[in-house]
Amino acid sequence: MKQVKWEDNIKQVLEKRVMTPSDASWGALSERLDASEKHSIKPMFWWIGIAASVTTLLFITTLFFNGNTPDLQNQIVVETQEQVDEQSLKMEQAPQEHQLVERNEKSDTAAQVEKNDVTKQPIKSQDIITSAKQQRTEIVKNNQVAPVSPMVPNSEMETLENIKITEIVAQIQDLTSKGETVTDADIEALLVKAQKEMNYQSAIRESNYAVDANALLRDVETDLQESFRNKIFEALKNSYETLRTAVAERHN
Amino acid sequence: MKVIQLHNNNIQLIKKAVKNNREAQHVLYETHAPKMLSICRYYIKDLQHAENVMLNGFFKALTNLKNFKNDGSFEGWLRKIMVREAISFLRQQKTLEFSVEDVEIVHQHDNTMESEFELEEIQRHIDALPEGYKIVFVMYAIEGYKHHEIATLLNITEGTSKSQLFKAKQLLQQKINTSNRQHNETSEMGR
Repeated sequence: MKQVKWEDNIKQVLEKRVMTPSDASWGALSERLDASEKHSIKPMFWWIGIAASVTTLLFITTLFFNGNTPDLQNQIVVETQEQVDEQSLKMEQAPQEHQLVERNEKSDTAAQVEKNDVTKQPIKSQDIITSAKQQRTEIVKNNQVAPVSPMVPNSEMETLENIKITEIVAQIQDLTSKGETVTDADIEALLVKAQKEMNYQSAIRESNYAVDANALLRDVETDLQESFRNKIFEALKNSYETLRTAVAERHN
Repeated sequence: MKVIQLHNNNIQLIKKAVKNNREAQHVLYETHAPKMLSICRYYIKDLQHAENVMLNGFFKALTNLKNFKNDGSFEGWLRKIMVREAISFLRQQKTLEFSVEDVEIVHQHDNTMESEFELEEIQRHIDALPEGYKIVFVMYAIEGYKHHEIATLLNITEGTSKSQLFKAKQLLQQKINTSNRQHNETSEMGR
């Protein structure tokens, strides 16, 4: 039989022992726990306060930097508006050039009776077109704000032109029949008057556009210079030949 | 089944106590305080001081309950906290000294001792030991710590721990034998 170690006996005796704590022990412990919980909440408030301050500072900084960029935004708006204006100007140039080409084609068909004139006309019209283009580009470059010319459909423009041509021719014939001499100055005056009326009519039809008078006159001058003048001359020539034939037959 | 149910109840109680449920904490205290006070009494002679050390231990345990992992028993975890608190108290008192000088021990030829001891007598003999001897003896013989664990906790070498234990055993054995002899003589005289 093995001898039980005496220290194991001591251990068994001591392990069985329990000692009742005093009645006030739990009260003291509970108070310490309460104090500890209150103390642990305070640092939390500090951290929350610091976090709120940092968040507010970041928010104000963001607002400050976003608010300092209105100039940039305005510049961007101005630039895009200028780009839009340039683009609209280019679009307007294209149909006007197209009108020049169409008028030249019509004048070519009208002048096929006189071959010499026909051969000369295209060349002249080509030169006129190029010179007109050059003048127009010069005008555009000089102007800061591109003038907005009234956009009237080409068909309406041609109809108006034909009407005015007919009127001018009728007036010239009237003067001639009365025996009055028709000078170049008179014809020029009639042309200017007709052009003014045409512009007035087109301006009435286009109500939304703001018309720059000076720019319009320049456009009119360049347009009027050759193509319209050529039409008038052709019409006058035809009517003069008609008259001459009529007079010759009468004498006969 | 009852053991499992008790274990589950204990887990639920601890979960509530972690959330600072005062009632749950009170139940834990009432359940384990008597045993913990006894453990503190192993190391500290004065009962009032032992109770204060026990309360300190419970305060640390309840405020750090989230660190308790359910891989061991709650009582074992609590017990370790109490031992550390007791050692810390003795260090503060500056009574914890590991004397290298040999205490006068009368060598006993007969190493056997009577198996039955009275509780208070045992505790009295342990209290009479020098602090260094007492702590190492209690930690090794009663608590079941290994020498390297004792050395780490007390910041001594394993050799010192072993020598302290040897001397503690010898001294304690001597005191108990002397006490028993006197008890026997008294009882014989009473007849």
